Amino acid sequence: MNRSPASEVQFGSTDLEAVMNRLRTAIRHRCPAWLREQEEDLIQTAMLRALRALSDPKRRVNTSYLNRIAYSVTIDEIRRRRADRSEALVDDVPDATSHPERQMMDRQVRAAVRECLERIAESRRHPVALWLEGHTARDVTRILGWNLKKSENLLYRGLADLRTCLDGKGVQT
Amino acid sequence: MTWTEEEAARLRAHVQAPFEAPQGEDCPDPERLWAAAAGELERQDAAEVVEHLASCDSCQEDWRIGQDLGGFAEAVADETPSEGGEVVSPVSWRRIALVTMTGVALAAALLLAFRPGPPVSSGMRSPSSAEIVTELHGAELPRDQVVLSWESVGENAHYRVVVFTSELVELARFNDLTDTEVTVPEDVLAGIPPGGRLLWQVHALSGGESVVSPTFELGLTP
Repeated sequence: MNRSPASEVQFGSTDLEAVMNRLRTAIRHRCPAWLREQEEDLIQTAMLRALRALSDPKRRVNTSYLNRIAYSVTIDEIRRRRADRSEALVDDVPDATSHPERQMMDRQVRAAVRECLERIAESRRHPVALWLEGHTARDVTRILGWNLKKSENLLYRGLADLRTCLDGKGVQT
Repeated sequence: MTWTEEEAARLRAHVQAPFEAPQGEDCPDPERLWAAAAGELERQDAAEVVEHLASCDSCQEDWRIGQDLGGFAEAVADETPSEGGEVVSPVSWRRIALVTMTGVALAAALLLAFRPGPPVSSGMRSPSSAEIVTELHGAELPRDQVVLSWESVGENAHYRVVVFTSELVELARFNDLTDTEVTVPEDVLAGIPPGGRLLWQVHALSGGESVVSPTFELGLTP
């Protein structure tokens, strides 16, 4: 049995089928259900980018790099679709699987958090924004280029600010 | 004034609840989002991206797609900053559309011209203290004895385990586990042929830190 958590594979110019399979897997994983009909187009677009990279001897094409291509291609298409939406669809469309009261509460909390974030000092706002996306102080260190102590300190203070602000708005978490 | 894990989870659930966000304006391109998440940007650049992220619903959605199943974490662990740090110039969709047919033809031609070979090289990442490890990666088990297990990441940790087919179709999700093992019911595996493979992943929450495992693979004995 293999105790290591995962392997990292590097691809060469003769590994085209493996590259295609990897891109296919990555795009299928990231592609929202409503974009499924575009899946093959996205895979081909990603393959084009991968081919360019494979032809560059300086480029290290590995699994992570292919994931990055898949992400970029998928997000490009999602953005194009968002931008093409009719005006009627621009407003929030509730998740059909969620209860209306829950949707209303989500919307209210989201709005309150947005307002509170705007009031928090920028140096604290950034770690809090990342924390709301599920990131830890260590992630903040990596993303913002701070040391861990600064990340923890500003995140802690920012979260205290957020709590005070949400409490002031009567938002119960 | 600190947040408990439950409070944090509830707040994030509200903030991250899916809704159809309108496309934001002046959004960083996806390569820049990825680079920011991977810690590849200069401080000022990274701060600009995060400042935008804080107020842009569509970029938050895009960011979550990158994070999904540890996507950004994978990038951080695996990419070499000096080479991986080179950001491919964003290409407009219209330009891509124009060259897609050419690209498909080129890809097809190259697929015919080259025989697929094995990966040029492979290497195992060494687990860090924050990583979730298992002895089951690459193992084969009978379908009536699929018990997924992993090493604890800390006392009072809670886990979520997601099981997929090799095509990344979700088969089962086990939430809020406190044990470090879970049995996958045989009926969940009914669609997997003998000798087929599963992918599974563990999400852990411990002491306010969240950890996402790599994707583990498991075979079903023929």
